[in-house]
Amino acid sequence: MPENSQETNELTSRSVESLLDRPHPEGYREEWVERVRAAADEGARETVQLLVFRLEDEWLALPCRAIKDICPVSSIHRIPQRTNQVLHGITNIRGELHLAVSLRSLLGLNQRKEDAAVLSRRVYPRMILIQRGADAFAFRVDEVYGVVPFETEGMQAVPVTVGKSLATYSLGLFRLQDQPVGYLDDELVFHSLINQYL
Amino acid sequence: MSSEPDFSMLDLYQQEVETQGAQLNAGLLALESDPGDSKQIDGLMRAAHSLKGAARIIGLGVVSSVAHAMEDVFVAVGEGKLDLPEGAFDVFLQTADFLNASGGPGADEMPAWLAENAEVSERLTGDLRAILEGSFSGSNGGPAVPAKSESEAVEKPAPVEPVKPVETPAAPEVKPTPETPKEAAPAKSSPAKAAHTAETIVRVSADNLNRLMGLAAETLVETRQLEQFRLSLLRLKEAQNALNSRIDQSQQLLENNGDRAEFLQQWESIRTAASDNLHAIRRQLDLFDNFSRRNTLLSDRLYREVLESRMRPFSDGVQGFPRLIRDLAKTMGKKIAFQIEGQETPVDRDILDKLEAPLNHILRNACDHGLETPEERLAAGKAEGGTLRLLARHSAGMLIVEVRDDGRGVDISRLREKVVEKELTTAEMAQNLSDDEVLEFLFLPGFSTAGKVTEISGRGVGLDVVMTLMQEIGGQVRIHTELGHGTTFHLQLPITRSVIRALLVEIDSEPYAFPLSRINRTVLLSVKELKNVENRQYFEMEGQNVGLVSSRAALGLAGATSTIAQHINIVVVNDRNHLYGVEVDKLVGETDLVVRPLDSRLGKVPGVSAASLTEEGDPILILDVEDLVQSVDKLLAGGELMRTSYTEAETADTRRRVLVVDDSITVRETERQLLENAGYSVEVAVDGAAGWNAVRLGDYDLVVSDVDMPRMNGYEFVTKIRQDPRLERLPVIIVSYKDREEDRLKGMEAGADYYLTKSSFQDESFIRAVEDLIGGAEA
Repeated sequence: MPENSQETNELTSRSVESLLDRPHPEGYREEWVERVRAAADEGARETVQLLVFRLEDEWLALPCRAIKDICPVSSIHRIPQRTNQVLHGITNIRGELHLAVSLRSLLGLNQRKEDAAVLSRRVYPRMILIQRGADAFAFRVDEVYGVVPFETEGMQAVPVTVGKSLATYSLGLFRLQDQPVGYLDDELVFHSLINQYL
Repeated sequence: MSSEPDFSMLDLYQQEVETQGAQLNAGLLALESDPGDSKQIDGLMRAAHSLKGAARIIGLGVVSSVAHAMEDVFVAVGEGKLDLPEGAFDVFLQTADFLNASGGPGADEMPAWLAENAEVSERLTGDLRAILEGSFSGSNGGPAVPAKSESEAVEKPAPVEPVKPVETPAAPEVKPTPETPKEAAPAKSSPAKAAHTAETIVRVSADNLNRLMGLAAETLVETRQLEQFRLSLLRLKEAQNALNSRIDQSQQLLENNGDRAEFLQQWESIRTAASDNLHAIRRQLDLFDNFSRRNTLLSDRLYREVLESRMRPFSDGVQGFPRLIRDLAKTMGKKIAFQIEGQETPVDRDILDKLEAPLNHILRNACDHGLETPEERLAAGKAEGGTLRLLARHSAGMLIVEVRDDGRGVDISRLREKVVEKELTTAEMAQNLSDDEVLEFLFLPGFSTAGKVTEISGRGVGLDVVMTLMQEIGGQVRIHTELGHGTTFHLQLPITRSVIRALLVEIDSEPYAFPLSRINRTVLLSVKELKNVENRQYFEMEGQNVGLVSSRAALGLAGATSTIAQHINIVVVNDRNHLYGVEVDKLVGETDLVVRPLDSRLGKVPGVSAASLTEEGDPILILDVEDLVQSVDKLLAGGELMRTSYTEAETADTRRRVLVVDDSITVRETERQLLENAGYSVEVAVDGAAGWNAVRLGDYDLVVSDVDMPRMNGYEFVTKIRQDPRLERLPVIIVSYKDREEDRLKGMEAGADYYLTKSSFQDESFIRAVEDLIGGAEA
């Protein structure tokens, strides 16, 4: 059988060769060119890393570069004649005293219904510390989901139904598990906190 | 453009020169070392441009034209139309020096300065134009150059540009003034750079740092033991679970009337397991005990070491004094031997800083009034030269600093007379005052015993200042004196300001702390004992009327004090020599607090000096007693101060709001003045990016924007406004120096409603455009 098998081998290799060398069907090459090009595009697609969190029933996100720390909720001490609707006081974040603000008041979110859509399995309120340069502020959120890379292409415009203040601070909307997530402009948040409420 | 210079805004111009001039210098030096750096060109162009505009606004036409010529050169370079000839940088740097110098003279000197520098500006403009036209022959050039640079040296009046005369006539052809402007420039730009590094650097000894690192490493190792601890606790929990199930089994046996022997066996195993567990718990307790002791010790050492890192030797703060005393002695013709003892005494660096001023006062006083002239001393039978000693030591947890002189001492009976003379007390009372009490009067403001006011001391401000400064850092000062034998100033200070002993109280259900050093006592007072005099509340304490202050009112906290309570808690505090009672809701207890500064962005918070953390880690505010008392005084004196300010905020501003965006402070302020004069409410932003933030947050009726700005230029800014659905209808005026038609078209394309040039400030066209767009000032 050895010769026979050799014969078969030869046959196989020849048929393989002819199979590989056969002229490709119509439009085959174009299709692949298209696919390779698209794959390259996919890799280069721009994403933003955002920390997603919830305030009341509103899902919001801030870019990771602005986030300094996330920690358990801590008590806030009012500051005489400085505390206002947005600036709540000072709070202890990992042994350091920071200014605590209410992002909820800043964004004009009204306290509303309890049945907010929950993304995480367990829900803990947290403090988020944001920092830009020497300016840091801590604020309380009702839930932190985590860091999500969003494709910038997927950003939608803020609908007109959204409240005026929130719309002002939003760069756009992303979708996460069918929940709209407001992408906040950290620059503007800092600007407003420093210039309007300090 | 007005021909008469208008110097009312000179100070703004000077500010502008300071910032833009530094930018020019820095940019030029960067560009010279890296000529390909096109980013620098942009910055230089803007700086020259801004200076041109600013100079034009206040009517410095000459300066403006120099800046204009410079801008043109940079524009050409930026567009790649021009290669800089050799020597160009010297001209640029000279121009920068000239522009910087133009910010120097005040309004009175300006005309003279302009006259003096007319030739300089002409020459610079000429050189800059030559560079632009490519005809600048630079330093390599023909015979004209050396002659020129020589004439420069003559032309230059020394006070304006002291760098110029350094030119060496020996080698004029090589380079006109290569080194000098370069040296001058970095010197000017360095303060600007220093301002950027906001972080302060402190010196810490290497030993101290090594010990800190050692301790930190130890903490890390210690903390790892916790994992072991957790594991053994876990094992214990499992053992306890097993024990519980055994107990259940035995109960089942009991219920099923099982075999007695089996039951006893079961019972025995339960007993063993329980005692095993108890044993394990004991061992864990032991371990934990050890761990906790080590850890307490460790954190204590760590804390002490950190505190020590704040300490500097006393000598660091008093280095200047020997020289000071020597010079003073010389001017006064006295012989003074000055000694400093306890130079190695560690002192907190904050305190050391604060100590210098009071010590300076006391030492000056001692030299001037305390010590006698050699003749007087000899006549009094003392050695010709006086001794002045400065001593520092630690005693009973406090830092003691003393200034001792062996001079004439204070004549207490004279002082008594003087006190009566100044009607500070009655003659009868003065006689009853103890010596120490009489000496206290020396610390009163405006009280001086000196016969004449000298340059060194005697205005009666010195000791007053000493007292204030000492109180500020929680210290005390006393005087001992012996007539004819000398005076000692005894200063007692806390060793560190970073930890204070404090009384915790509760105000409006939040914790606050009083520094213990300021507390006289605490009192629980029945409401009936309160007296009302002229709308102020008093209570009697040891025959003295003590004013009562509500902490809530002083801190401006809402919420009235409960009137149902029969008794109120009062903290009696010292403020100078007065006593005040501060009413608080609850006294909590005494504790050590690590003092932390309040966020500087808050500014000075009334009644609060610092912040800290409680043992539970909750924030707490430390009260500023002096300020607290004062703010209440103000509150009472100013009537219903709070309420009025409240209503003021309530009444809505009906004026139309305009946002002015320009990177030049001169232009910004000009526009602000014009608009405010017309009755508009104006807010400003320093560049396009800041403007974009502001315009989204504020409710403006109009935006006025410049074109050339860093971060975001005017066209981008306006385009962004037009793209935002909420702002697209907001009227925008662009105001620029650029008066070409294509610039105007570009502005209108971006979406501006008006495009004006800055000359519109001179006539009414700017205000007319504003009125045309949004109407009058009142909405």
